[in-house]
Amino acid sequence: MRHPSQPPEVPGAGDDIQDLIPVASSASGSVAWSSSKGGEGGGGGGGGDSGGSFTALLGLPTSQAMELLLPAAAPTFPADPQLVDRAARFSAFASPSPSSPSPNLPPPPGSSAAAAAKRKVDPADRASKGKSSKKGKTAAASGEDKDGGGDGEDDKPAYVHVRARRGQATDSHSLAERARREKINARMELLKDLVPGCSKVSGTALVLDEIINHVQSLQRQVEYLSMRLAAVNPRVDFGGLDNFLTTEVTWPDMGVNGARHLVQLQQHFWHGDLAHPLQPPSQWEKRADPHAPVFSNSSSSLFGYDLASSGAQPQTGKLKMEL
Amino acid sequence: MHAPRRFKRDFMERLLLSLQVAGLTSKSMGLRERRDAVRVSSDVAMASARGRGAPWARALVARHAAKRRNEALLRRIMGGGGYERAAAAAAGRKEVRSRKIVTRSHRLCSSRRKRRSLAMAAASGAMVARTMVKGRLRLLRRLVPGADALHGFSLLSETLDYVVCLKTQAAAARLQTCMRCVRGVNEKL
Repeated sequence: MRHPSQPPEVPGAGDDIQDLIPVASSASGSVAWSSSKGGEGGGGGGGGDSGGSFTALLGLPTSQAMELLLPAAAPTFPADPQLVDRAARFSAFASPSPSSPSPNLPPPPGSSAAAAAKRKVDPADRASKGKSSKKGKTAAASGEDKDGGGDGEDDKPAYVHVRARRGQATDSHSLAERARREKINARMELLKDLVPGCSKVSGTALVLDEIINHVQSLQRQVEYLSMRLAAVNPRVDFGGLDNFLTTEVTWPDMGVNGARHLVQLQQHFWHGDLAHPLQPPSQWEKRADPHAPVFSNSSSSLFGYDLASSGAQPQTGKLKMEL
Repeated sequence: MHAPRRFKRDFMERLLLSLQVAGLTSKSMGLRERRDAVRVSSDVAMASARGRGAPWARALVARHAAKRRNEALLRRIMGGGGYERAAAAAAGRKEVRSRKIVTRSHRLCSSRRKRRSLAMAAASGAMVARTMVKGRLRLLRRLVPGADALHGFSLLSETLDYVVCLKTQAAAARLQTCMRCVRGVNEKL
């Protein structure tokens, strides 16, 4: 209702905070979502909420909230990657020790927004804990109490606390429904961040479309790559262990492009930047594709031959050049 | 950024191990059989690196264990105990299938009801959107292993998990292929 231009503002925040964009956009997205879903909710209500809690931010217009969030996030950037990393880990994986992260989560973020943000979560739903701590709904009293006002600084009860917004029904059914809906929306946000090209699309059905396409393409990729892997090692017993953990190739043999691509591939795998999508490696694959069958053919025929035979030379020469 | 380093490292190690085992086990020369062996070993590596905490991991391994051909390879990779667990999980899926029949019959009844109501009233926008979403969720359940009986939130969590792991699996496989390609070329030169 307020700021339809909200999402485009976030990428303009700069590339340094790109790691935090899931964080920030989730925060802003949650504000936008909840406002659009909750009707007049926290936006028009404004001063209904008291105190320096995060819900006060919800009372503000979203632009001010973003201003508060982003500069608050940027100075604490060195601390935040751990938080982001942990949050990402929580959101993506069920952590083995549920209790230990929660005491650790409050101290690192120095900003008041994150510090005030706590949400009590069902232990079974601890996967959403990292996300919701950023969205920062303060815990209110459960159920009927509307303006609890208190910050939730307590330990882990077994149920979810959600602050009721103004002008909304406060019976337990609708609250539980809203809590459920917000959990599901949080998941959708995470999935949108994960699947490339989903942030523009709005609406559940289209996002699900994209997710399904992405899953199918990933599965197809895995199948194709396993075929390639099986083709590359024709008769060898798939090699020794350590050899394939690091590159032991000598770079002058390969030429500049191949070396660059291989290094990029490796870096992308271990340090997973989302900033650089996998465009170049696919080119590498496309170029290497005609090589692989040639290579495997030649190698299978060459095992019995002398490597220095003239029959081998033209092919390896061609490989060397095109690499 | 999404998959933790520990998982990537674990997965890579297990992948290399299982590839080696696969190479030893399958003396078969056919490309397809080798590809299947690679596929099985890669999936098992990913599932075991993920751990028991995710239902899709168990379901994925159970899917491979259900086929007779993979038995030898799986026994070597996971050990006898692991294989027994996987076989038990594969057998347990029969029950899940019966539950799927029940849910599907429920869905049919509800769709018949909805069709009747649709015939009476014009399909509202929300109803159309909900049908679309439900259809896509059905597709998703078919795609993600072991997500058959999940609804709503848990389904989305499973998909999230699965997508992250699939991404690392594809990246690891790509890395392996390219490095072996290059290495082989280097050895030739």
